[in-house]
Amino acid sequence: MKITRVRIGSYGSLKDLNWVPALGLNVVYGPNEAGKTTLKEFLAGTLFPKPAPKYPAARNSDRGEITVTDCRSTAQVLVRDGKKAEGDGITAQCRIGGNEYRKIYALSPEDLRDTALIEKGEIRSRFLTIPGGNDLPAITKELDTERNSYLPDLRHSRNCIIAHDLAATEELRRREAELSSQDSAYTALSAAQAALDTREQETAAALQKSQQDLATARSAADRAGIQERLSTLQNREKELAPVARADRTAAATEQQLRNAAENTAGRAADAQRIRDTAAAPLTDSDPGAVIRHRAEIRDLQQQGPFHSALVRAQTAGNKTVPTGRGPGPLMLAAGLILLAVGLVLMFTADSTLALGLVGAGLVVVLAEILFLRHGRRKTPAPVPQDSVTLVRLEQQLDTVARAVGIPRRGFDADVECLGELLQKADALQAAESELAAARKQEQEAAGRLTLFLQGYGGADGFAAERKNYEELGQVRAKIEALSPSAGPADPSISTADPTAAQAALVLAQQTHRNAVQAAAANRQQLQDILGDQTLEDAISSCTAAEETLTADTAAWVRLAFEKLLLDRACTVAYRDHEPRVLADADRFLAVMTTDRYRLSRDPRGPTLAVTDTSTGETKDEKAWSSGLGDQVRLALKLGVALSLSAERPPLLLDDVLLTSDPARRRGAVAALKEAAAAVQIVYFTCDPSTRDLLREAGAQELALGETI
Amino acid sequence: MGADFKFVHCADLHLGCRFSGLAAADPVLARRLAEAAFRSFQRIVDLVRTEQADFLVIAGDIFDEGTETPRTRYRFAQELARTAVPCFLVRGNHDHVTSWEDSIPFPPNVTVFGPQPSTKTLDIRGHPVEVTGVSFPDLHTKTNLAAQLHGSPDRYTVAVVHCSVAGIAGSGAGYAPCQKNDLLGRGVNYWALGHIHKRQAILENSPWAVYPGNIQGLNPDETGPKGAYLVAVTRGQAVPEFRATQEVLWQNVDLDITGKTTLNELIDGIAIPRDSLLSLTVRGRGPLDRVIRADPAGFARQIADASGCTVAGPHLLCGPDLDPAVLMTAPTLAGETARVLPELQQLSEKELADLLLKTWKAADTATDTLRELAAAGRLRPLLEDAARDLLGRLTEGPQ
Repeated sequence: MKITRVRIGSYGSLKDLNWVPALGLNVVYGPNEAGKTTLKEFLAGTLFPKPAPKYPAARNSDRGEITVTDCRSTAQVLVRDGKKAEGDGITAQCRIGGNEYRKIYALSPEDLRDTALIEKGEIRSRFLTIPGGNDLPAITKELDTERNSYLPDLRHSRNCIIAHDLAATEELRRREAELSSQDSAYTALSAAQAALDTREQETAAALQKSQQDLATARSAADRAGIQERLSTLQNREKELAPVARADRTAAATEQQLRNAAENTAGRAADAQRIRDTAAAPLTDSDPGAVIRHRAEIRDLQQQGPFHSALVRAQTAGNKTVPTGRGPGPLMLAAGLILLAVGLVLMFTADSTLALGLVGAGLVVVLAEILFLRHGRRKTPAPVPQDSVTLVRLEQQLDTVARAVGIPRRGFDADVECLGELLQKADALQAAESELAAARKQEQEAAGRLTLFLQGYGGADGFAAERKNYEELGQVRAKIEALSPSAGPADPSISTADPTAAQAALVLAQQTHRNAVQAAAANRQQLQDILGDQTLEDAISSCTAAEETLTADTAAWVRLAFEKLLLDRACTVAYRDHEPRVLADADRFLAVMTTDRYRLSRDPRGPTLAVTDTSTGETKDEKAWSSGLGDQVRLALKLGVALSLSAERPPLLLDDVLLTSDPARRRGAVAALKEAAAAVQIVYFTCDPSTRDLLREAGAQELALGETI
Repeated sequence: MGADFKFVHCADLHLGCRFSGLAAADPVLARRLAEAAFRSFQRIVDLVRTEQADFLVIAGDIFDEGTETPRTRYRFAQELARTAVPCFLVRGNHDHVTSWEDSIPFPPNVTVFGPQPSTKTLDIRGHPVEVTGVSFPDLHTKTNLAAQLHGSPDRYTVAVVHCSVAGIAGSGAGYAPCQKNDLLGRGVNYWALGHIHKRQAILENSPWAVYPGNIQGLNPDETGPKGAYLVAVTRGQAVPEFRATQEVLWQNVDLDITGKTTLNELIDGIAIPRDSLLSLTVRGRGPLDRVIRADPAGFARQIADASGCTVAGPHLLCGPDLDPAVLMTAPTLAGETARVLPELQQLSEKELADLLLKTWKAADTATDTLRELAAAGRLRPLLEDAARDLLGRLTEGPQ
C-alpha cells in the first residue's frame, strides 16, 4: 500500500498542503514546529483511524484526504473531515490494527526502542519462530535449566546433582571399603584364634600341672607334718600303754561292782527301812523278849480256847469240852476224784452222767474249801482237866506279859496281843535277818569294789586310768587315721617346696587367665564382626547411591539427547523455514553496520542477540550500546514491516535516527534505501545532515515551513 | 539306576545382592530387600528338609561381587549345615575365591567342585548315584565346561555346571559357552545348570537340562515366581517340580494412557497382590504423557499408595498424542525433530556416549557412568525417550 497523494486543507498547523510523495523513499524536512509530526499523525490517523491520534488535538475544521494504491494498483481515497477520519482507513486491507501500525510502521524514537510487541506478542509467534516452535524459547530454557542442574554445560561444578551424587557415592564407597577392610581382619583374627585356643589349652595344661605340683608339694609337706604328729601320738601311746588294763572290760567290771555295791546298799537301806518299820510298833515292848517267849506265846495261843472252855466250864461246872473231828482231807480227795471221773466221762461217755459227777465233785471240793477258810474245823488241843492248868496258863501269861512289857488286861486279849506282838516280833526278826543279810551283801559288794579299785590305786586312780585309757583310744584312733596319709616316704618329693609351688601356681593361673582373656577377646572380635551389619548397610547405601547416580546420569543423558535433537531439528527447520522477518532484519542490520553486525537468528533465544563478525562475539541486548540497540531495533522493525502486512503500508519514521552518530545514521539511511525498494518510507527530520543523507540515497524531499 | 531319590536343584543365589532399579529411600525396605535372597535360600533349605531330599546342588553364582562378607558366608555355611545332607556347589562368574575360604570353611557335608571336573558317588539306600561338576576357573572363562563332564552309564548321574547354552536368551557375555548338543550323549541324566536367570528346561528327558533361574528377582526384568526345583527320580526317571521360594515377588504392570485423560482412569483397576514389587511401564499416547513426565516419582507414589506395593519405575514408553505418520511429514519443529531422530538412532551405544562427551566437556565428570550406561545398552532407549519427551514439550508446551 502506497500513498500517492496527500491533500490537507487544514490539520493542526498544516494548511493547504498538496503533496505527491515518491513511492519509495521520502524525506520531510523542516525546522521544529514546522508540522512534521503533524503531517505524520495526519497520515497515520487517516490510514488507521483507530485509535485516534492524540496529537494534534482533533478539530472540526480538520480536512484532508490521502490517496493510496494497494498492491493490485487499486486506488482508494481516505478522507478526513472533521475530528475523525472516515471509515477504518486501510485497516481491513492491511489486516493489522492501528496499534500494530504505530508500533511497527509509524515510529518515533520512543516507538523504535519499544520491541515488546515483537518479543512478547503475536508478531513474535508469527514471524520470529519457525512453525510449531512457539514455545521454543521457554522449552529451550526449561531444558537448559534442567540439564544444567544435573551437569553444567560449560564448566565443571561441584554444585550440581551429578557432582553431589558422585561425591556421595565416592564417600559411601570409601566407607564401604573401610568397613570391608575391617572385615578383612576376620581372616587374621580367625588364624589368631586357632593359636590363641592352642595357647589357652597349653596354659590350662600348665595350670593343671602347677596345681598338681602344689598338691604334691603340699601333700609331701602334709605327710611330713603327719608323720611328725604321728610320732607324737605314738609316743603318747607308749606313755599311755600301761593304762590299757583300764579297758572297757575293767570299766564294765568296775561298773558292775559299783552297781552291785549300790544295789546291795539300796537293798540294805530298804531292809533297814523294813526293819525300822517292823520295829516301830514294838517300841513299847521288848521284841527280844517276845521272841524268847515265842513258845510260851504259841502255847498260850493254843491253850486259849481251852482256857476259855476251862473258864466257862469252871463257871458252868462243865469239865469237858466237846471236840469234833471232820472228814477233812478225805472229803477233799473224794470231791476231786468225782470231779476227775466226771471230766473223763464228759469226753468219752454219757454226758449227763459226766455232768452229774463233775457237779458233785465241785460241791464237795467247795465245801471243804469253805470249811477250811472259816476254820470251823480245828484240831482241838488236849484239854487240861483242872484249874492248875488254868493257873499255869495265867502264870505263863503273866510271865510273858511282864517279860514283853505289856499290861495285863485279860487272858484272851493279852494272848491275842502277844500273838500280834509275836507276829510283829517275827516280822522284826525277819526284817532284822534280812537286814543282816543285806548288810552282809552290801559289805561284800563294797569289799569287792574296794578290792577292785585298790588294784588301780583307788577310785581316783581308776578314774584317772580310765581317762587315760580314753585318751589312749583317741590317740590310737588318730594314729589309725593318720597312718594312711603318712604313706611311704618318697625321696623325690622330700624336698618339694609348697611355697615355690604356690608361687608357680599363681603365675600359671595368671598366664592361663591372660590366655583365656586373649582367646575370649579375639573370639568376641570375631563374633562382633559376624554380628555387625554395618558393612551390609553400607553396601545397601552405596548401591542406592550408585543407583541414584546412574538414574541422574540417565536423566542428564535424556536431556542432553533432547538438546541434540532440538538443535538439529532447529538447524534444519530454521534452514528450511527461516523467518523472513529475521532474514530481512539481518540484512538491514548488515547494511546499517557494513556487515559488522549480524542478527543472531536463533529462534530459541528469549531475546535478540547480535554477532560481532569481527570478533565472533555474540551480544545480547544487555550488551548493546544505545546506538547499536537503535540499529538492531530499526533493522528488526524494518524486517517486520516487510512481513507483518502483505499490503505493506508506508513506514512513517519520525527522526528515529536523531541520536545516532553520523556513521550509524549513514548506515541506517542505506538500510532505509534498501527497504524503500519494498515499502514506501517517509522519514521526518529536522536535521539537515540526515536530510542530505536521505537525498543522497534518492529520497524525495518535502520541505515544510516553506511556502508550498 | 534303581535308586528312588530326591534332590533339590537351585542356582544364581546372588546372596546379599541389592535390588537394581529401586533405590530404596526407606532403610527398613532396603534391609528387607537386601535380605530377600537369603530368605529365599532359607526356604530352599526348608524344602530340602521337609521333602527329605537326599542332596542339594547349587549351580553357581552364590554371591555377588562385593557381597560376600564374613557374615554372608557364615550364614550361608550355617544354612548348608542345616540341610544335613550332602551339598554340591560349583562356582560361577560372580563367585570369587575369597579370603574367607579358610577362616569360615564350609561344613563337612559340602563339596565344592574345583576348576577340574570331579565326581562324587553317593550311596543312596544301597544304590550309587553320581554327582559330577566343575567350577569356573576364572571369572570370565570362555571354556566349554559342560563338555568336560560325563557320567557312568550304569548309574544315575547329575552334572552341575554354570554355563551359557547357545541360543538361550539371557546368556549375557557368553561365559562358559556350550551347545545344546554338548549336553547329549555324555552319560549324564540330569544337567543341573546355572547362569540364566529365567527358569526353563532346555532339554526334557534323556537327559534333562534345567535352568532353575535365580531364587529372587533382583530387578524389574526378573518378574514372576522364583525358587528351586525339587527333582524326584523314580526308577531312573526324573520329574522336576518347581517350588517358589522368593521373598519378594516382582510383578509387571503395564499402563496404557491412550484415550485416558485423568490419572485415576489409569490407576483404577490395578489388581496386584499387596507387598509385591511392581515393575511399572507406561505406554500409549495421550495427554497424560506430559502429566506423568512432569512428576514421574509422584506418579509412582500414587500407584504405590493405591496398590499397597513398592513401585520400581515408572518406565516411560508413552508419548504425546501424535500420529507418527503425520508427524514425519509435518512442516513443524516437531516434525523436524521426528525427521532428524533417525540420524542419531543409527549411532551405536559407544558412538552415542562419545557424542555426549564430545559435545559437553563437563560430562567427563560422569564418564564412568556414561560408559556403564552404554555397556548396558541403555543409551539408545534413552534417546527414544528423549524424542518422546521433546515431542511432548514441542506440541503441548513446556511443563
